[in-house]
Amino acid sequence: MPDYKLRINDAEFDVNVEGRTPLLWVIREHAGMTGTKFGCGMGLCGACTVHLDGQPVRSCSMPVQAATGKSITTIEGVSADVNALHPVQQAWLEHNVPQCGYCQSGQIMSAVALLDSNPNPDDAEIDAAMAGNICRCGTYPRIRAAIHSAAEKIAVKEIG
Amino acid sequence: MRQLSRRGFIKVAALSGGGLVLSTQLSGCGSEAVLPDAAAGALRPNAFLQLLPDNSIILQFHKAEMGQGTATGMATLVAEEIGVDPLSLKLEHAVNHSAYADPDSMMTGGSASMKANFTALRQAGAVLRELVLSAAVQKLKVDRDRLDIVDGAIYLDGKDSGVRPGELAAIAAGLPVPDQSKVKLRDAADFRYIGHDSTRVDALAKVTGQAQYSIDQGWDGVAVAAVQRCPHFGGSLASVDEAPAQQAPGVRQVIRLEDKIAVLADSYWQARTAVALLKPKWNKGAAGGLNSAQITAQQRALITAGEGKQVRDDGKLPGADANWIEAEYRAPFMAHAAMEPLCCVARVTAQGVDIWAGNQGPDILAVQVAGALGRSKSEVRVHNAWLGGAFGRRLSSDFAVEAALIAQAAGEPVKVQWSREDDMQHDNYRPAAMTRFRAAIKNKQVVAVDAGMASPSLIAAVIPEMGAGYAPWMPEGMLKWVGGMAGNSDTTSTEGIVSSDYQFDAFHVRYVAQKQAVPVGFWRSVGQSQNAFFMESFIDEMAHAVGADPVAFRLQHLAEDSPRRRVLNEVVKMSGWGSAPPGRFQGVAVVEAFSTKVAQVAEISIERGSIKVHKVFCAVDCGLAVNPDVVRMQMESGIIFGLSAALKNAITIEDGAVQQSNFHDYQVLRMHETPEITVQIVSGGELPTGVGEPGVPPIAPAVANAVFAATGQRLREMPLRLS
Repeated sequence: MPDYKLRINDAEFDVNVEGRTPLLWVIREHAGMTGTKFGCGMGLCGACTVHLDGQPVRSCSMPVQAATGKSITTIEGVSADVNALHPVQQAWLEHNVPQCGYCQSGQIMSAVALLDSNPNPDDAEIDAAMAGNICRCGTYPRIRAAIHSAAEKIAVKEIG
Repeated sequence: MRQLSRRGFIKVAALSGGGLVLSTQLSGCGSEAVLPDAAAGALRPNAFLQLLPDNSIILQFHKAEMGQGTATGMATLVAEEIGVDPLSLKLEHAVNHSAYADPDSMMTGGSASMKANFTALRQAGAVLRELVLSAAVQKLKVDRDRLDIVDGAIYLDGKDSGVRPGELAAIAAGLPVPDQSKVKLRDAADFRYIGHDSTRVDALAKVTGQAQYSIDQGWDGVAVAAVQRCPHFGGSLASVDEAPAQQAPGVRQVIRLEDKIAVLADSYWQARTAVALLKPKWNKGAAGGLNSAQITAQQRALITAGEGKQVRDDGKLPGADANWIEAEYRAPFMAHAAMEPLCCVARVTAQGVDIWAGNQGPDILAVQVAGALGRSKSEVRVHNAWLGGAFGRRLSSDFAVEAALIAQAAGEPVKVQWSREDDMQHDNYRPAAMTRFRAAIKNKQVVAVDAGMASPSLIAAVIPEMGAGYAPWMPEGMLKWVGGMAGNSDTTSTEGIVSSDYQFDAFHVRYVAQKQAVPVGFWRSVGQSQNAFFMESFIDEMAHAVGADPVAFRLQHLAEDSPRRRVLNEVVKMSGWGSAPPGRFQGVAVVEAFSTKVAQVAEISIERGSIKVHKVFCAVDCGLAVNPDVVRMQMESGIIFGLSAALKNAITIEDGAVQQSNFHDYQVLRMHETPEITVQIVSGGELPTGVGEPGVPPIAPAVANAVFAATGQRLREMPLRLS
């Protein structure tokens, strides 16, 4: 099996796997970061969303060989520690978003990517960006509100 | 970071060959003398709570947190009584033990956790408080009346004394533990946490990716298994050439069971890839050829033939002098489709059996695993985790029994990871159901309702499993009660109709339990998930048949003291009933489920031939709202979950197998389809009722009734489809 060099949350990993192995399982089983979740294996639910060079991708259906040489960010890389949460995570807490919580890593990764590219999205833009992330607990209304809050936090921070 | 400790994981890492570290002996905590999960140096006045010298407090969380907020609720109850912020508690998942069967068992279901534990968990907290304060009396040499615990500090005369509870643990350890039944509880007027909004105790771990679910259990080097199961219910494995999997990279072994074949490998993807290379031949079994249309036709035949049992016969049905209207309602099988596919880690050794899996019934699971392995229940330790959704699915033990059997056959521990397809095609489904109504009208008044119901009996399906799980400690009377519910008396199949408090001169219900091959199980809101759709839609039909407003008709037929009146009246106010904006149409439904009353109004329009739900108004009466934000959250959750069932998905059967496999053909509601939801809590009272399930039932009939208002089409089958 070939070796792949991966850069995950600014750390280098050498992994020895088949090239078609989905990035999700490499992150979870080889890099040992379990915040990224498995939901459907077909890119239908978004639970496995990570960033590849800042773009949200479904890691369950991305072969590891396509991720080499790129910068991978997972939920563990979104904030340095609990005392320095990302504005999106802070907004998630303020709006009491998570219920079972299983989809929330993916939801947060999609929301962070949205706000990176569109700092002030309206409801329709939020809906479009988040349409690929399923939540069976029905946290959608709170996610939408939390994204608006996070956008405000980021704007205030940048002005400040 | 506050999170559940990975105690199970740590144990495995620290111990070779099994065994459990037990350091605390406690008497009077049930049949087993030893409590699991004891922290070193802890003051542990009861099974639930431990105070450590470093001032941290551990709560053994004995229920399942699947999103419904029970962990926050339980933490709030004990924290209130101790006098600490619920967020400061450290939660650990309790390992199965009889100490947790009091007051009501470790099972989580029926929206019962807060109701059943409200007093007992407060008492547990109050015992710790009083024990610590007894030690404070000794240390500070003052009367008890001058002391309290506030925000985790010992207060003297209303001011922080500087002493912390942890410092008193050693003194308290030498004092008698107060009698739980006599300890004084805090006055409701003094509540600082109960009845107030707060952040969920599991929120931080869940927004940072640190929360540990079933899929996160295990350890480096554990074998990961992927499984092909016989797609035909009741079928079996006929033959398979194992060679392609045996030769695949990373594969350790191939294990055959009666109706499945498992491939164990070093990693999940290797196991999944290898098992997919196998082309097993299956015996279809008795269900081969079975399809959904046959199941529906059989239900209709059973009802029209008058099979089953008369389960309600209030009043005398009128004869031919009345004008009768009739309608047939149907609901399909439903998969739970929790976001987390099932996963279970099992280790079977001579020393004992360990199961790591998020589950809703550790007691039941322990008995089932023990039975399958020929071991005793006391040898099985069940380590819970956060549940990535469940909705009833993780109340079944099948996935743990399967993992244990594979581990036993393999001779090594195994982590069985289900795919989404496995999870959807090997569920225990919400029963497909049919109700045929008749209503008698005389002088523009509905005078009688007669319902014929048919569905597979849930209780008959689960009694072998749950009965065995409960039998060792369930009171005999309760066991008889459960036994009496089997078959045609199953109230979980008829609830919402047999128990309806609508008043008519006559109200008859007949139920027949259908025997068929598709496995069934509890699905969020259980019988009400379809029966509320049937009943609240037919109520609407009756209202229109006599020319009455749907709200006025309900109020006319609800008794003056019906607990449903209050939420119905409230939702009428909230929604501006009768004055929908142009192009929008309203429908209403009101349900009592699990002792909680919920009324909803859906505001819809028809857009390009499909149903669009714009707004939902929801009034809920759940007694005391322990955490109002969790109540609002659960109403939102139930509505959105219920809308998926109302508008989107169904499980269909062909050749004795499920046709759907993933979220492309079993679609669920997404954000852009989610309506604006407004929730009003009209609660009051001293005790809580549950909120995890009751938000689900009213939404499907509320939408269907709005569709009738918009189009004149009466949609009598879920999911709702315009013709």
